[in-house]
Amino acid sequence: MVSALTLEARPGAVIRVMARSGSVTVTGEDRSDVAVTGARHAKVADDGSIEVKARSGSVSVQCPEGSDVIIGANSGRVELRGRLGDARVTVGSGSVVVDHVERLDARTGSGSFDIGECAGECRLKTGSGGIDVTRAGESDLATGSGSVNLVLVDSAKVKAGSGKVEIGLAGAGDLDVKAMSGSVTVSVPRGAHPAARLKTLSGDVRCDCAAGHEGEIKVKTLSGNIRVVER
Amino acid sequence: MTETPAGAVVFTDIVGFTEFTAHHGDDEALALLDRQEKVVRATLPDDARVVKELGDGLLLWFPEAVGALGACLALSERFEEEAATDVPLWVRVGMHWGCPTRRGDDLVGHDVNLAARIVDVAGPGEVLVSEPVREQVHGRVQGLRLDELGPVVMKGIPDAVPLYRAALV
Repeated sequence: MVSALTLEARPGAVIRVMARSGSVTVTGEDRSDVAVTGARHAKVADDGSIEVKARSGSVSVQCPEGSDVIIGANSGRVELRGRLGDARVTVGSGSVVVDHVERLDARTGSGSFDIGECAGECRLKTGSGGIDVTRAGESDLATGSGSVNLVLVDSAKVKAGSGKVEIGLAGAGDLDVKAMSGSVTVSVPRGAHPAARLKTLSGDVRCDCAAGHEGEIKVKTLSGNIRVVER
Repeated sequence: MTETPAGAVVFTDIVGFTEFTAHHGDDEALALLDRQEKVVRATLPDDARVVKELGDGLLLWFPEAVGALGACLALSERFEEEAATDVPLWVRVGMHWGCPTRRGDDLVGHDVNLAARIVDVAGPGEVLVSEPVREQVHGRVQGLRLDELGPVVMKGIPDAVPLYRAALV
């Protein structure tokens, strides 16, 4: 067990963390080295990346702001704190919490996502668990069961099994939502004129916007109401 | 028990099938399974076989990697087309290359277990493949894009496994 260790990182070094169980926290902060606590093994790999392995318990990594991060964990919560670069996270079961990343590709077999800001592409997959995103660019999201709440996105593709879906479009981006059951609410900027194609097999459809061609909103759900509202 | 020659072990799984059945009943769930079977039978090459059905999933075997990946990507595309109709058929696919052991008509062993774990990691519509698959198909499939997910830690598998998301561009 490496109780605490500081490694010199070359600029742009990727942080790779593999953990069998327990929580993983990676924090991007104003520093040039990498501090690791709670790991079984930590080293600078041949390619310059920082390699951290943990078996159980909590592992914490503090790294330079903007670092790219790759995390693989079997079970446990993963937190990306501060400002980080591109992040790829895979968790067998456990939730993922993110403050700010440039791009994100994260998946968990069961567990929720709580994402603050993803500046660019945001890809999230969970077998069961809710998805909450405050701000993201182009998004591709899927949950087998659980609610989806995207406060503001540029564009999105969403697949939702069961659960409420709420999405705020930042502008005239495209939206494609397919849901099995659960209501879908889309909010667009006031005065927007999207092309809306809304279909539910059992439920009501209401679109408050005037029809136009400023982005396409496609929503299909097997059961549940669909609403497109201005904000 | 007999070790088979090397080949591709593929698991498919319908995402959200339990929830779908709970909300829409057994009849619609059976119709969904029929639809899946029809798509799979129409897409599989002649030398591939459905080893067994696993509730809402399938275990498939292919003797050749490029054909296997091509079939999996075609399956994914067909499922997406089906999902564009009234019934959502969101299927995920996990693929591994190895030498499983034959037990009657069944396949067993570490390579089968690993393929089963890979599909658990995949999201709806995704085809995920292991490093041995990547090595088999490298440079042999035009327009293939493999995005690295990074080493993935899986329950019951001792070492982290590099996985890739396969897509045609």
